[in-house]
Amino acid sequence: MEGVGLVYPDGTRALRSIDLHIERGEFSFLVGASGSGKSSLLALIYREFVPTEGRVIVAGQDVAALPRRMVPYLRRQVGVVFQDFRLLPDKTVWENVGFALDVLGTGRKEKHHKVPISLELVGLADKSDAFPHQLSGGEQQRVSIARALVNAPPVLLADEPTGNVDPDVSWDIVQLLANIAERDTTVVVGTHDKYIVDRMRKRVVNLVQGTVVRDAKQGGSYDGT
Amino acid sequence: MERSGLEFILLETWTAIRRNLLITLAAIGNMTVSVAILGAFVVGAINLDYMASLQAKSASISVWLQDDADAGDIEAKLYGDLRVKETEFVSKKQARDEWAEMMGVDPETLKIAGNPLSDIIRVKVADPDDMAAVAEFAEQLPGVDEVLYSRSVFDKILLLSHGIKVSGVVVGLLLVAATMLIVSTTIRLTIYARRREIRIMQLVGATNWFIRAPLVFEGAFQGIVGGILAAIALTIGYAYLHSYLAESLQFIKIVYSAQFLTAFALGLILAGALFGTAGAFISANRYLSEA
Ligand SMILES: Nc1ncnc2c1ncn2[C@@H]1O[C@H](COP(=O)(O)OP(=O)(O)OP(=O)(O)O)[C@@H](O)[C@H]1O
Ligand SMILES: [Mg+2]
Repeated sequence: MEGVGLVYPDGTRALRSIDLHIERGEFSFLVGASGSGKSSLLALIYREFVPTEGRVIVAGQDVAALPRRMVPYLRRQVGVVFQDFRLLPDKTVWENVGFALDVLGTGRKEKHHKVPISLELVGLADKSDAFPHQLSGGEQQRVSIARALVNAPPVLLADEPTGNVDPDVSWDIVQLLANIAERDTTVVVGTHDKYIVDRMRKRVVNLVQGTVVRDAKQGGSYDGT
Repeated sequence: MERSGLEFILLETWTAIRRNLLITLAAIGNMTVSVAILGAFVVGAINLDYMASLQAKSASISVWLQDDADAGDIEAKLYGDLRVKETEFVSKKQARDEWAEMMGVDPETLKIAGNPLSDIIRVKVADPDDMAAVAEFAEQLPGVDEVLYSRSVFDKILLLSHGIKVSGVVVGLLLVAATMLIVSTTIRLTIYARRREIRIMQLVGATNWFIRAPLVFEGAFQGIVGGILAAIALTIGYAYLHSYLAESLQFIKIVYSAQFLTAFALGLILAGALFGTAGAFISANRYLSEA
């Protein structure tokens, strides 16, 4: 990201002159108070919004310059996980993960190959046939991570992935995300969970009112202002 | 696209139809009524045209000649006109006999009164629209006394036929617009019911084409079913009308053949499919370009 700014159509300025470079396979936290612009910054990466200033480069492509019809192809490169899981209640775990392949027109054989791998990775292979309401919050979040990963994207974004789960489960989820980064996937986690950020000793990018005030490369503690 | 892609789309379509069953039925009902009314206009216009052409075949212009006129020359001139299909010479005496027969009197009694009629040339035109022009042409030929034709009946049929075409187009356009509006509303409801799925589809990188396909199929389905129902209703109604006319109003003739009915029914189904698809396409596109 170079000199990135974002002003929403209603005039709210969410981000201001952000310069940020994240290496491939790197794991980093994006922290900051509520309203500091974490979600907005992540949304620029998967092109939910287009920056009003500056450039956002994802895997070598300028996201802002991407024509609309190419956006789906960018999204296949970027998995996204949200606080509220966004699972389909009437589909099983297996189907929820498979859904991400269905909508790309993936063949049945490939689907039967990839879905179990992804579920195995998040440790939910034995819950394939359960419905979301039969799972705990932590398990549901794992399903949504499995869905984000099933297409093996080089980038995984997580916006408050632990916002709806117990503290010790949160730790497991973040560990899982760190493991995923070990497999050469770039992982960016937006959170305000001070405890976890402090314990992880990973890169921390701190946002305050839409600007980066601190970028601690190695295990900085969270400065929660 | 691989087979499972299409399978997925069809499955999604079917789920949406089942989930919105009531609304789908309402949309189909609306489609049926609109397509049926549209079809009724079309079939009405076709039949009035048909009747006008039948009238044209039998209707003729009567050219009354002066006593000293050269009948052969005038008939040749009239026949030479390209718009004229047929001419027939009726002598003064024949004319009187015809007239007597029409009035239901004995020709002999008319003889006493002398013959007030004259020689007549009857002219038939190929296209009923040319009737007035041919009459005018005949009127200015030397030796012609008077030109008569049943202008009033004829003009009425032509007027009715033009009128029904114009109002058919106007009403038809309104109906088409209303139908598409209803279909697009139904599809909007489907979109609303499926907004979570659509959101996820967008996030995991489904193309707009893939997101749109089940919605468009749903609209097409509503249109085709509506079209089929309209076709069934109108065909039955039309057959009933035909047999009624054949029994009690034999002088009214309507177009009626297996070929005509098949083409008509297929046309209605096609129209339904077209409106349904277009309506769905419009609202799907509107939603996707907003997001
Ligand atoms: N769609 C939107 N339209 C207008 N303003 C928005 C929109 N989304 C966010 N904002 C504003 O932009 C600023 C940054 O919001 P953002 O959601 O990025 O913060 P955040 O750091 O993710 O907060 P939280 O921790 O509460 O999730 C806020 O002032 C917010 O009100
Ligand atoms: Mg947020």
